[in-house]
Amino acid sequence: MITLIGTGLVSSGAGALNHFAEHETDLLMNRTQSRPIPTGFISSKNALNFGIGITLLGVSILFIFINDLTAILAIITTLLYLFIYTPLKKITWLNTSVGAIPGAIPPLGGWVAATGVLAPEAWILFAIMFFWQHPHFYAIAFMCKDDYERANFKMLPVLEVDGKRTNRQIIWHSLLLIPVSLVPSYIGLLGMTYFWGALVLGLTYFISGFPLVKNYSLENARLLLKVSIFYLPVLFILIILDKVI
Amino acid sequence: MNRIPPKANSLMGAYFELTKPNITFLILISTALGYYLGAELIFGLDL
Repeated sequence: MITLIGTGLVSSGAGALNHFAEHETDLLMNRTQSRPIPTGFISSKNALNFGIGITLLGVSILFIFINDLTAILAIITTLLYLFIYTPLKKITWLNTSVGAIPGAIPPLGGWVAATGVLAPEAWILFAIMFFWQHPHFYAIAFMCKDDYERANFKMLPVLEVDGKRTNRQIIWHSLLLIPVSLVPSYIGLLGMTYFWGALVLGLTYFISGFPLVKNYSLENARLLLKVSIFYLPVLFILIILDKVI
Repeated sequence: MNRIPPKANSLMGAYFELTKPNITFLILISTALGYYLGAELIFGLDL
């Protein structure tokens, strides 16, 4: 519980600091212009203080009550998110892959909080989260590409008209996710309930990218996004089910 | 430029929105999962 409180505070703080860092570009995008800073509801200074305050509180909780390594992972995640991924959005389309790193660290943090060590098995969870995020965020980037273009964000769907590269990224990452997601069963961490469930889920996620490849449309991007949102909680439920059955 | 009405309708709601609750929720769920699997593997804890 303390791990979740500390992690939640760090994540919330990083979110607030991201609002602070992007409040000017948020004003340019329909999706974000009603956020608290662009609307003047909260001043950028207050958002900055709030973000720093709760991030430090969260990191302190992890340091004092959990262990050093969990706190260090939380710090690395926050720094990657704020100082590498956020500015990279205006520089290169690879920001999606870079942003997927801090997005994949939380299960490592949970593992380390429980065990105190960064075991090889924990990296499988990292890899699942890393690969899952690519089709998910490319679908979002396609759906919001007009907004991103206005904000000068170098998202891949903004930089190309035909979507060939975006589609390649979606197909390859969702394809690689299938074997990666099955590794917990190969190594005996999880059993066959998980194996078959993860296989069906992975194939569903992979196939849901096909309509977008065939017809690069908003509707098909929305379908992929929906399946991506379905994939992760169901995979998590499968992990729990596999353990309790 | 015209001011857009805020999504949040209270100061507390606005601060809550600053925390990116959807992303934070996903992070908490995946952290809990990592915690559970780690504890299960190392200490053999059951739910």
